[in-house]
Order: sequence, then structure tokens, then C-alpha cells
Amino acid sequence: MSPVLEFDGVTVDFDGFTALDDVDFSIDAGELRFLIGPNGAGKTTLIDAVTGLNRPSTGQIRFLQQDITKVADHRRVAMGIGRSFQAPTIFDGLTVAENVDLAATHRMAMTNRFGARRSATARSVAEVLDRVGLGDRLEHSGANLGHGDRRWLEVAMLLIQEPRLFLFDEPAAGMSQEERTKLGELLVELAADRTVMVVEHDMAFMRRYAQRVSVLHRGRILTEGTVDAIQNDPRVKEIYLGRSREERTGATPIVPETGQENEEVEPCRS
Amino acid sequence: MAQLLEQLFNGLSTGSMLLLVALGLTFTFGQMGVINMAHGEFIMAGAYVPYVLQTSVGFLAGFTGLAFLVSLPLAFVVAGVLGIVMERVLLRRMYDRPLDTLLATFGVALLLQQAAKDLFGAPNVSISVPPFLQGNLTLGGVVLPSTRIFILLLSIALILITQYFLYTRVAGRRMRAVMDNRDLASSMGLPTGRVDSITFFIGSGLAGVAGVAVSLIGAIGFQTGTAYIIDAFLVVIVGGLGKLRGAIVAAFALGVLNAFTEFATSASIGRAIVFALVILFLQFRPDGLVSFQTRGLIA
Amino acid sequence: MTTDMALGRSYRPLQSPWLPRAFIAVFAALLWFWPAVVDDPTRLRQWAEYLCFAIVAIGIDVAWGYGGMLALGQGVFFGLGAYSIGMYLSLEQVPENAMPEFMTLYSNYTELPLLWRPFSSLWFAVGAAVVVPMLVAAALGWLVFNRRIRGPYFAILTQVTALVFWLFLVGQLELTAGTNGLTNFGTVFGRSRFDPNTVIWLYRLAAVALIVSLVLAYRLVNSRFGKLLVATRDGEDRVRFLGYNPAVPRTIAFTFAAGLAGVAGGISAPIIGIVAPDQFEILPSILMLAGVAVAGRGLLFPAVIGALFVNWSGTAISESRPDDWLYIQGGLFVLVMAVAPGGVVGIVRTMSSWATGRLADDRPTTRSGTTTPDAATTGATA
Repeated sequence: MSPVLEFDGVTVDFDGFTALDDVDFSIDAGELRFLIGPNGAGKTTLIDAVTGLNRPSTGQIRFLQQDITKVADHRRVAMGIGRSFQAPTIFDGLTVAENVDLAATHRMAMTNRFGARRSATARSVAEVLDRVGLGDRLEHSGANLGHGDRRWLEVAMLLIQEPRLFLFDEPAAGMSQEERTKLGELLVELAADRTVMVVEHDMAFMRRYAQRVSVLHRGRILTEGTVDAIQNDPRVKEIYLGRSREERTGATPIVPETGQENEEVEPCRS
Repeated sequence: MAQLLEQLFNGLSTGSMLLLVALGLTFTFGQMGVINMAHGEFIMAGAYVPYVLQTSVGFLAGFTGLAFLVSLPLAFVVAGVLGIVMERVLLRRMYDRPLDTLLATFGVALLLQQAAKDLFGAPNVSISVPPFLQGNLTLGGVVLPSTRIFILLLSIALILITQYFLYTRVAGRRMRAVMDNRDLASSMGLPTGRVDSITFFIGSGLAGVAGVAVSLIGAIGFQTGTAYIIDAFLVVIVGGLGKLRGAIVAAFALGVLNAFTEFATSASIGRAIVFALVILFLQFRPDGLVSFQTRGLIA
Repeated sequence: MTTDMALGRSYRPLQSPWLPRAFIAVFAALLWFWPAVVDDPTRLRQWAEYLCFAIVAIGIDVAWGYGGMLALGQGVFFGLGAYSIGMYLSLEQVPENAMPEFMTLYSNYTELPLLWRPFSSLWFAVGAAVVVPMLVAAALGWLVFNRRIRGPYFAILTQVTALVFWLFLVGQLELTAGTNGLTNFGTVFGRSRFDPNTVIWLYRLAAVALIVSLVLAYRLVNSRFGKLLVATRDGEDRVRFLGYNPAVPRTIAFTFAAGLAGVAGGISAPIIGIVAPDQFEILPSILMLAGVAVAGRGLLFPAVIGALFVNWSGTAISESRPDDWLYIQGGLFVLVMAVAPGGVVGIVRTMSSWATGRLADDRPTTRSGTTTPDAATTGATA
């Protein structure tokens, strides 16, 4: 297996604060990789670096063996990198179907966009929206969707772009147990012929669906391995438990010995 | 050589004028992000203050010099009050809508222009230059008008005063805290609303003082403000938002550039060239305009 | 929910609502027969002028309402169009290859300068009136939007362009007649400018241009491009992460707006009868927005009506009480932006949603945390 995504000594600075510190990291094709770590560990920064929302001060990022460190962000999408955001962002001024249509036609030439109507994508738009359970709300305004539905619409917009690499930033946040199961199954399905990376706070969700897990701590990759290996790694216990002890929040067991379902993992999520 | 020196002095003089008109904007625009199109009319209001004092206020009318000196702090207060009223009544409800703010303050500018026309008449008026500012200073073969030197010194003095205020006074430190991180300042119990009002008062007041300087170098009328507003915004943009040091450098750089291009071409073409250069400059250094390396997505 | 069920319904991603079409048809008919109502040639000439500013307003609404770009320098593009046709008209008044009157007075030219020569051709002048503004806008937009300059900074830069344009026109006295401008068009396109029939003819030209502009703009905002433009307005970064360069839709919309302003300026030259720098300065440029702001940005037809109304009332008020017009204009901007940023359309929308909201509140609601089928169809979730 050749790596889909590689980080080679990547450092990202924000005004003197080092959010990613000399990170080496790679994901192989077909992986379903989870990225965990305490708040401020640099998880979102890492995803942002892949999509071009921030620029590394040193190091190189390669996607499918190509150096993308200096590639413009919108071109990275065209190359096959798709992401969702922590706070689902959709376009309130457009209908549900128009949102997905916009995502679907990102490779369409600008000159073909001025036609009055008709869409070659209507069928696939409806299909994708059915898949996420919004098939009955094609003509609804994006502004009228509830939080959960916004998240699913964002997933639909991602699905229809058929990226090679999916990046999900806390996709399960705010979802019901039922929705989480649906999402998890979708992630597994996607990883069959694509590559998926998920940033997640929900450890129960992670345990159920992750194949490999990377732990980020203070801008560095602390360790990588299978779910079992991570759960039994004393260093991982230390960064979670140590933090929560310091903060005297009653020390919720972050990596529960018994393995029962545990909803919120971070003791102090904002 | 003398010609070069003369242009250099002209440039510095124009630069100090630019700095004066832009100084208030570094507060209201640079730090609060409010595009105050009425800033020019606050300058106009300040410019009318010495005129009113010299012509209509009893005992001061005879003493042009004294009236002029009194008008400096008075113009600050007059323009500042205009600013604080506008901030309280109008802007407070639209801080999250910068484009609407721009158009609303443009409306205020129109209102103030017409008000000036009604109060002082449509024709331009002039103030009497105080006796101690009449005449010239000759330095190395270059003739320097005293008014120009006064404006240069005034701009330096105002910068020192604002720096002193921002870095040593409690209110100034609060202002910096709110500008740095509004949410944090608010959660720490700082009255951000009141701080905003003070910021606006000072920013607008500085426009008033700039107006007094404007009244020294030419006739004033209801359209005085429109002549300065664009330049003032450009200085702040080129200098970088909220960066006083940037504004100082930008003002003098633009002033000198203006002097030399005008000298080489003509007044209007020179200005056109300077604006074109500014747009070109922003192509290479848009940092003044956008300087973000954000973590999250601001949608 | 199965896929087949979803496909069974008629799904149209890009709508073509009939309502605007009906409006446009009625409006077109009204415009056509308007000269019968406005009998006086002077009045009709004013109406033709309003129509020109309505065309500009359409472009402003596309850029501002749909694209979020506050273009405060539309006078530049209007002026470029006006000067193109104005130059043709100036040359129409003199024998072939002769210099216009002002040039013999102010300049040292011994023959017609190169810049002026092609404008003796009507078709070149018409083409230039449209193409030159679009080229300028495209170049400026592409530079500026690719540097991610937007919002208030873009607005200020458009004002700067208006200032530069004015300075240039005033400074190049020999070429442009300076502040006096191009004027004294005795004949326009071979007709006497003061013949009432010429006025009707010019009025109809403006009316046709307005309707065509309106139809074009409707097609533009309802196309996929229009949706992309709205998306760019609402979330520039998000659009980027869907794989688009936001500078592209922005530049196209800004260029379109400039083209409309150019057309309007070109048509206005024979109607107004003078082309002078002060018409295209910052202040008149911003005032071109007034109609759109009052009517409410983001819908085309109201913007047109708003522009017509504001210009018409401008004439009416400044004729009776010239000094109050500035107060009213200033007050309008303050009032609309502070109280009703959505303009008249926004007020109507708020009122209607308030009314329906009250109706919805009267209905029994379930508080079990599940959505009722009824609520699901309106998109509301509990």
C-alpha cells in the first residue's frame, strides 16, 4: 500500500505558538484512521494544513506522492481532498438540493454555468440526499435545517464530490446514538475504496469504528496503533487522566477499563 | 539640490497632514473595524471651529491667535461629541454589519454636509492665520511656511499624546485590551460598550484636531471632508490595520511619493499615479488588508 | 425512504419562477406605453435618465445583493460608457476628421488625437461603451479578489478608482475637456436632440436596454453561476473548500455589473446631453446605490423600482426644495441601514414571516422532541 497522505516534518506556527511541531505522519490508501488527542493538541490544525487553511512554516505535505504544500486550497479539492468542518457549514441562501449541486459541479467549467436550468446531476443529487436522509427536503432552504440535518447535508456535499481522501472534523458531535451508528457505518463503507481520516472526541465512537488511531499531543504525534494498543498505552492514559486530575473535574475515566459506552470523553469541551 | 529638499519638505508636510487625518481612523477603523465615512465631516466640523471662534465668539474674536489655540482642544471635543453620539445612536446596533455601517455613516456625512451648508453658507470661508504662524522659515535655501512646520509638529505631538494615553492611562490600557481580544476583555468584566464609546470619542476628536490643521492651509467649506476621507482610509489600509507605526510610515511615504509624482507630472495625474501604485502595492503586501492565519473557519 | 421515491418527484435544482417573468412582461408593456402618460418631452427625457440609472442599479444589485460586493465606484464604468458615446457624439457635430470644438480651444493638437479617431465610428463607440468598462472591472476584480481583498476594503478601493478616474478626467484637459466635459450635442445619431420624437426614441432605447438587462440579470442569478455567487457571498472560505476559487464568480459578477453601468452610461450621454467628470465622482457613484438600498438588495425587480422611485423623487424634491434633498438622501441611508437593512422588501418579509409565525404558534405543537409530519414539511425540527 502506498501512502495517500504524508507529512514530512511539518511545523505550523500561529504568532509564535507552535500548533504542529515537526510532525511526521502518513495514511495508506483504504485506511479508516482516527485522530484523537486533548483539546489544543493540534488535531484541527493538522486537517487545516492538509486542506490549505493554514500554511506550514517548514516541512512538506504530500498527497498521492505530489507535494501540495504550496498548492492553492481550492485546487487541493480538485485533486481529491474533501473535508467537513467542526461547525457544519452549509449555504443558508440556497436550497438543500442547490447546496449539493454546488458541491457536485465543482469541476464544471465556468462557461457551462450560465445555462437557465436542467441539471445532469439531479439524479445523483437526489440519491446522495436520500442516502443521508434528506431526500424529502430537496427544496427546503438551508437556513431552515436543524443542527443535525446541517451536519448530514454537509456529509452529502462531501459524498457527492467523491474525494480520494475524506477528512471529517468531529462528525459525530451533536448526533443521536442512532445517527452515530449510521455515520459509523457510512465511514466504514467509504473506507472500502477511499481513504478516511476522522478527528473525534467521542472515544466510544472511535473504539467501534477505528482501524488505526493516531494520538496527537501538544502538536506532536504521541503514538499510533490499533485501538487496543492505544487504549492500553500508559502515555495516552497519562495525557487524558493527568489533565483531568489537574483540572479537578472529577476525573471521568477517559479510557475506561471495562470498555462500556462513554459519551463525552473530554472533561472540558467548549 | 534645493529643489529636491523642497520636494522632500513638501512630501513630509503632506505626510503630516495625511497622518493627522488618518490618526483618528487608526482608532475607529483600524481597531474597531468601523468604516466611518463621516470621518471627513468630523474633520470639517473641526475646521469650522477656529472660524467660528475668530468671527463670532465675543472676546476671542479680536485675538486670532488665542482663538486658534483654544480651537485645538475645542475641535477635539466638538468632533468627539459628534462621534460619540453617532456611535451610541447609530453604530451600536450594526457592529456586525460593516458594509451597512459604511453606508449609514455615508448618510451621516451627507446630513452633516447639508447642515454645514445651512449653518455657514455654501461658499468657502477662510480663517485668519494667527500672527505667530505667519511668515516663513528659510532653511538651507528652502523656504518653509510656518503653518506647515506647525502641522508637522502638531502631528508629532498628537502621536506622542495618544501613545502616552494608550500605554500608561487605565482607559487607554482598557482600550488596547478590548481591541486585542474583545471576548476575553468582556469576560474579564471590562465594560466593552463604554470602551467602544471612548475609542470612538478619541478617534473622532482627533479628526476634529486634524480639521483645525486643515483650516490653516486653505479655504474650508461643506465639502472639505470629502477631499480627505479617501486619503485617510488609504493611509490606514497601506499601514496595516490598527498599526499606528504602519500608519506613520504609510502617511509619510505616501506624502513624499505624492510630492515627487506631482512635481514630475501634474497635480491630478500625480495623485492618480499614487493611487495606482497603492493598488499595485497591495498586490504584493495585502497583509495590511488581510492578515490571517486562523484555526477555524469564519463562514 | 427509497431512491425511487425521491426520483419520482419532480426535482428541479434550478428554478425558473413564473412570477418574475409576469412582472417583467407587465413592466415592459408599461414602459412602452409610458410616453403616452408623460406627454412633456422634458419630463420624458428625465424618465429616460431614470431608466439608465435603473440599469446601473441592476448591476449593483447583482454585485452587492447577490455577490456581497459593495461597489461604490460604479460611476467609473458609467462614465467610461458615457465618454465613449460622448466622444462619438462630439465628433458627430464636426466634419469628418475635424477636432471637436473644445480641442481647438484648449489644446495644441493640430489634428484629431489617436485615442479619439476610432470613436468616429458608431459601432466602435458602442462596443467600447460596453467592453472597456468590463475589461477594467475584470482586471481590477481579478487582481483584488485573488488577493482576498473584500468587504469594506473592496468598497474603499472602488471609491479610490472613482477618485482616480475623476482626477484623470480633470487632469487631461486637452483630451477630455476637463471639468467642462463633452457637451453641445446638437444632433444625436443624425437626429436633432431637441425634437420630441428623438426624445421618445431615446426613451425607448433606454427602456429596451433596461428590459434586456433585467432578463439577463434574472438568468444570471438563477443559473448555477448565480447559486455559486450567493454561496460565495455567504461563505467564501466554504466555497473554496468545495473546490472553487471565489475570485472567479466575484470577478464575473463585478464585470457584469460594470458592463451594465457602461451600457447605461452610453445611453445616458445623448439623453443628459453632457458628459462631465462631476457626474462620475464618488458621491454620485454611491448615490447610484440608494435605490437598491431602499428597495432591498437581493431581488432584482424591486431594485429597479427602487432606483426609478429614488431618482424620480430626487427630481421632484430638488425642484421644489433643492436644499432638502441632501438631508433626505442622507436620512434615507441612515434610516434604511439602521432600521431596515433589508429595505422595503425586508420589511415586507419580516411582516409576513411574523404573521405566519403567529399563525404557526396558534397551532398545537408536540413537545416530545420528535418532529411532527407537519413540522417536517416546513423544515422545522423540534
